[in-house]
Parts: sequence; structure tokens; C-alpha cells
Amino acid sequence: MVKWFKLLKFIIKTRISPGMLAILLIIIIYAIFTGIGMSSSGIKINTKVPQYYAVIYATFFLVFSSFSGGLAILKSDRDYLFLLPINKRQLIVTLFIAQIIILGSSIIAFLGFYLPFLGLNAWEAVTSFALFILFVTSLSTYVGDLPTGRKAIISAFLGAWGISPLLSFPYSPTAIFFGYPLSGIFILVPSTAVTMIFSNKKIANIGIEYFKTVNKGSSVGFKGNISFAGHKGIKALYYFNINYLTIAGRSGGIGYNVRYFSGRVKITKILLAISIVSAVYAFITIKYLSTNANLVSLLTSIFVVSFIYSFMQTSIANERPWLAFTSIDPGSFLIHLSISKAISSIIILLPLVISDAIIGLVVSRAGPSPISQVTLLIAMPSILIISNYVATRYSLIPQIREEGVLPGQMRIKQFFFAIPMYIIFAVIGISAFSFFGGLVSSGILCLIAVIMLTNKRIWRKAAYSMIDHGYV
Amino acid sequence: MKTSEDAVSLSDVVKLYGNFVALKGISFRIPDGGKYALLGPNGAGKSTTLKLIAGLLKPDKGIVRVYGYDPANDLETKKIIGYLPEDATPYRNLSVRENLEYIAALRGIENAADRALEIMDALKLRDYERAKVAKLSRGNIQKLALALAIIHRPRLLLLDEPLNYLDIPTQEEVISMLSKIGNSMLVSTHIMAVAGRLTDNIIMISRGTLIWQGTFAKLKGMSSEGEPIEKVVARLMTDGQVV
Repeated sequence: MVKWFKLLKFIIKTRISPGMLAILLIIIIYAIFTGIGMSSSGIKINTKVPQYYAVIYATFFLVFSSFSGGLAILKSDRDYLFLLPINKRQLIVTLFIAQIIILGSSIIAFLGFYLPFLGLNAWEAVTSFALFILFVTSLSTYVGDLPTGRKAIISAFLGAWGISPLLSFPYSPTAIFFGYPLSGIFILVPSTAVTMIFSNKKIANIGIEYFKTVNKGSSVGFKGNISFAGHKGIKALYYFNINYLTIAGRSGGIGYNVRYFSGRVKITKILLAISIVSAVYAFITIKYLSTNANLVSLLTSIFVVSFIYSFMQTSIANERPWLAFTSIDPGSFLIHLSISKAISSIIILLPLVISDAIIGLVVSRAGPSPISQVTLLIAMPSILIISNYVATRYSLIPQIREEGVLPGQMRIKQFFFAIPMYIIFAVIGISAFSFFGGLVSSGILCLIAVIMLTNKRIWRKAAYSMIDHGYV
Repeated sequence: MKTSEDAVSLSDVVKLYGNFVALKGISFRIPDGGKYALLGPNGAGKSTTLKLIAGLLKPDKGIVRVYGYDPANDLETKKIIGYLPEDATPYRNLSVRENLEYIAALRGIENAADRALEIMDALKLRDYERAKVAKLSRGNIQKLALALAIIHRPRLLLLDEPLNYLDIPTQEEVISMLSKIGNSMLVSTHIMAVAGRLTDNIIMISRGTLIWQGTFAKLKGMSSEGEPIEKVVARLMTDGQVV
């Protein structure tokens, strides 16, 4: 038992830094004591805003943990830990328990903030959180290893199921956060049992070789060849980064059960997929959700922004300074890389903006939704540029040198990677109430981005900082 | 001595990482066409020295020049320098051929596709041209990295453990290819046999300080009868004797 506890402690310590652990513990303690304080004082909260946030965050966990999940494996695990004479079954179970603890602590850290405002009593809070953590962990373990197509379908279903309480559907795993504790627990018990059975079956049958060949399912070569004929210098950078979206890094955005990976998708494929989804979104909203069109637009914008931000901003982890910075000026490279990302984001988001415009014209006859216009077309590209600078200058994202494994411990500064996303959420919130306010806040972000782009020196400093922080 | 005629010159270079002093006022020069090995124990500052010369880092004090240019500020050095770091990984989301074409295009090389084919043939990478980098063996990744470092025919090659992961026949091919190029070269390595095959001169650093500089012949002259050259190097590094 002592030996097993030591192994568990080792696995947790190698995945999360003491500073990060301390921050999580502080938030957990805050949630518990505020909850106790509020329930003993009998204070009632009359706003549903915390509940909306809790459902949205819980849905993020469901979607991202399943789409980019799997057991968190370090390169050193593969190279050393798995070669030690430790019982294989014990090792895998320990990894799973460590994952429950680590992912659980991050769920409590993110959702615990809202716990005192959710109106749950003590047993409801404990039961629902425990079940939700088990559900998300087992989902991530099982779904995370499925082929991408299946993962995408399951994640999309989970996304819709996750936000359904906001549309008064009480039978959802996130219903516990929106005033439906009993139906939420009622649905969580069988759902957790089923996913636990699947994930346990998977863990029991898994070979240690699995960890050594996490990419064994993917093909050896690319189907098509990207030709750079006719594109020289910076043009080659724009050609590649606008036509192909590099998806790399810690795509989960929240939690620690994420895999590091790098890949590319042709922008036309993404555009086609987003066009279809946007058309379906417009149809459903006009036909069935017209009375809640503004709320649907707000939630859709939040989801799309977080999804695109997570995927696009982690691509810096796939950069190679030894090639890029020795080919052209490092400052210029980062500036043009940031601009190309901003352009890609506008291209990708255009179908959604058009759908929102149609919804606005048909439903309220008031014209395009201000949330879409200002946040998706002005604020989002601007924040991508700003956050690209911050991420490189302060090395918030570790470089991916090997896929399928975590490149190191999760550290406090990686928390800051999410901050620009919250700025966008704030702009979305402002836009929902005031078009002018949204326009001004988006304009400020745009101005900051433009000022940054005109100063090559700061980008050069960011480039040197990347090298200083271990980028090769 | 005209500094501009030297391939590399470092003058009293200091480099700090936070409070840690990686290089403590290091100075040396490599003449045009000179082939030098950079030796030193782990943590001596070899990789930092190469990064400074490649323009990937800026010195906190002192002057670094490559053919008279400041590698951190003069874009001309991008054409002159070919840099291969240790354990280099190319872009993982591109194939072998795409990596070569992309970097050739980024560097503004005319007929990037032709140059990519030429270098793939030279390093026997044609069989893997469409392969994802993530799926290549470590040896083939090293060959691709080497190809990327020399694709623009640089005048100065900065190589950090260039023969790592290569099988013996490939090592011989690479040694032969690098010897024919005739460029100036600074090779960081722990393996004396590699240093001996690729270079004629040695720069030895330890704890961020230059401790010895000379030719291979001079180094061999320091060994007693039957003593391997590695023992002489180890003695110099341990003693930390400063030139």
C-alpha cells in the first residue's frame, strides 16, 4: 500500500508543478468555505448568471476532455517508468486514479468557484461533483482513443447534451449545475456506470505497447503534397498558414488529460464543415429556437471562440525556430505568422457570421447579430495576434517535439494561456448588451494588435525568449 | 587580422540565463574555410555558443561576428549560416519533401522544388519524400535535419552532434559529403572520432570559458605513448586549464 501510494504521488508530482497544485488547492478551499459560509448564513442568490457559466464550463470539460483525451503520458513514462519492474495492471490503474485526482481537481477549480451560487445542498454538491468527475475522466479515457471521426460525433453530441439544460432539458450530466440536481444525478449514475465499464474494459485489455505507439493508427504519409512553387520568402509562410490550419499542442484547453499532437487540415475542408454546421445552426435556431435566438447566438459564439482559440493558438508549439528564425528575420516571422492566423480565423468564422446575419434578419428583422460582427470579425483576429505575442514572449506553451505525450509538467503560467479567451468572452458579453460597447471593446483590441504588429522589436524579443525557454 | 575575413569571431562574449552565467567572456576566431571542433563537458556552453553564432540568441556582453556581420541583426547572415541543433526535429506536420520545399521557399531559393529533389537524392531520402516526419526513424529525421541545414549551400556550417542516430554507412556518406562541401565549419561533439574526421582544429570550453585551442596534431602531441586522445581531452577538461 505504501509502495502504491508512493507511485501515485510520483505520477501526480510528475504531471503537475507544486505551484499549480497550490493554486488548485486554494480555489478548492475557497469553494468549500464560501459554500459552507453561504449555506450557514442563508444568503440566496437571485441571479442565474453563475449557473449559466457553470453549465458552459462543464460542457467544455465534457467536449474537450473527450475529443482530446486519453491517459496523460509523459515521454519519461514511456522511456523509464514503463520499463521498471512494476505490475502493469497496478501501473495503469494508478495512472487512471491519478487522472481522476488531477482532472477532478481542475474541474473543482474551474467549477468550484460557482458551487456556492448553484443552490445545491451538501450531499447534492458532493454526489454530483464526484459523479461528474468520474464521468468526465472515464469518458476521456475511452473516447480519447477512438478514431477522429467518431470522437468528433461523440463530442458534438456531448456539446449539445451539455448545454441542453439552458434550454430547459433537465436530463443532462450538466443539469446539476442548472437547478436540476435530482434529474442530473439520475442521469449521471447510469452514464458514469456505462462509461466506467467501457474505460475499465479498455484499460484491462490495454497492452503496455499501446503507450509506445500512440500514433500507430495514423497513416505513414500525407495524401497530397503541398507545393510551394511560386511562393518565396514571406509569401511561402502566408501560403502555408492560410491554406492549412496547423493544429497542435494542448488542444483540450482545460484540464490535464490532454494529448499533445500536431497535424494539419486544409482550410477548405474546415470551411466546408463550418458552412454545413452554420447552415444547420441557422435552420434550427430560426425554426425551433427563435424565441431564444440571442441566447443561442451568445452560446454559439462562446463555443466557437473557445474551440478555435484552443486549436489555433496551440499551433505555436509546432514551430521550429532553428529553421524559421535562421531563414528569415525572427521578428518578421512571428509578425507574419500572427497575421496569417488572424486571416485564417476570419475565413473560418465567416460562415457563422453569415448564419447569424440571416438569423438576425429572419427572427428579429433587426439585422445581423452584433455579437457575431464585432466579436468574431474584429475581436477574435485581434486577440489571436495579441495572445500569439504573449504566448511566445512568455513561453506559455511548451514546444511539441514528440507526439502523443505531455511535454512536461503543467505549470502556473500555462493558466495564463486561457486569459485571452476570457477577454473575448467579456467582449461577447458586452456585445450582447450593447452593440456600441462591443464595437468599442473590439476596436480597442484591434488597436492594440495593430500597435504590436508595427513594433518588430517586441516580436524579436519574443523570438529570443522562445529560444531562452527551450524552443529548438 | 581583419575581423571581416574571419568566418566567425567571438570577442569577450557573455551570455546569461537569468542569474546563471552560461558564457563568461569567451573569445575565439575561425578563419574562412576553417574546420573546427567545439569540445567541452556537458553544460560547458557549447550549444549556447552555436546559438549565438546562428543569431538565435543575443549576447549580454561582447561581440559576435560572422563574416563581419552581426548574426542577431544582419539578415545577410541568414544566407551564410547553416545551423543544425542537437536532436533537431523538422516540422512534424509536413512531409520530408514539404519540409525541404517550405524552408527553401522561405529562404527565397530559386527552384525550391528542384533543390529539394537534389538534396533528397544526395541524402537518400527520396523513398520517404511523402512520409510524415512523425513516422520517420530517428536516423532519417537526422538526415532530413541535415538536409534542411545545408539546403541553401551555406558558407558556414554550425553542427551540433551531426552524426547522432546515423548508422555507420550513412555516417560515412555524411562525412564524405560534408568534407566535399569545403565550407567553414564548427562542429560540437563529444565523440573525438567524429571531431577528427570532420575537423582539423579544436576549441575546448568548460564552464563557459575557453580552456584550450589548437590543432589535432598539437593535441595528439600532448598524449604520452599509447594514451588515447580522449584521455588528454578528459584531463584538459577536468583540470579546467585556461589558455
